[in-house]
Amino acid sequence: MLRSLFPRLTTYVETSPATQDYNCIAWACGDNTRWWWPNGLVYWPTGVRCDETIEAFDELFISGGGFPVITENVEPGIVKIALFALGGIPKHAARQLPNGAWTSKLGTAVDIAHSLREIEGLNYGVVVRLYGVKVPI
Amino acid sequence: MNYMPRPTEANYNALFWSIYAIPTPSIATYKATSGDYVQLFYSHLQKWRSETYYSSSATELQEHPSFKAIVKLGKRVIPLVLDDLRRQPSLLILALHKITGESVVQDADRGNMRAMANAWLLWGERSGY
Repeated sequence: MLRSLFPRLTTYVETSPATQDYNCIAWACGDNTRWWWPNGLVYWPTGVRCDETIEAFDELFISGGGFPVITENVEPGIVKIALFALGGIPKHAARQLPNGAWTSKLGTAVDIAHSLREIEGLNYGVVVRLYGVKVPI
Repeated sequence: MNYMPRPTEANYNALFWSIYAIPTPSIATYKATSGDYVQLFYSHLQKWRSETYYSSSATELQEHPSFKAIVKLGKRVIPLVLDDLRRQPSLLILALHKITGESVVQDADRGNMRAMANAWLLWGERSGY
């Protein structure tokens, strides 16, 4: 079923049951209790620009301690987050795991571990931003 | 005794419609009755869920044609939405917001699916649903 949505998806692992308790943005930020989206009706951090633009997501991740990074390679002490957009509209975010794989919460469905670019396509668009967040080594 | 010939079923039908002068309904002139909205609601709900399950975008969920169709069904589907939320808290709360124009979720509860559903269920009780 997932491969019909993401034709480039080759190897992936489901890492959670399906739930509507949280979405990909929450999951990328380490929250599995809320649905995050800048529409004024669900959670969005106070003080962060609240519209459906890449700039608003820049503010979100940078206000949370993130900074722009160039590559998606693993760097010790840095957790990376990738923002996907389609036609300039943000659609999805994924977070890098220590082994270099990426973890994504797929809407109301499951979490998966996957290769970053394999979920690019007609649904999520392409990676438009990479952010890093420093973590203790 | 004279017995009248027993009418056939077709005769009965012709007699009935001639007496009441009501045109015989046909599929071509069928119009949805008020009860059909229940079937429509569940049909749209199923389609909405099956076609948006991968999406995290609350905007995208609200722009889906089936979501718009649910909203268009209006206040009569509120009990159906509340019943669904009672069983499964979900972003179907967005439909209630659109249908009623009300915002019943406290800022602190935004994004928490169960708390948002509970706020709408409480609203439903207070509003007589």
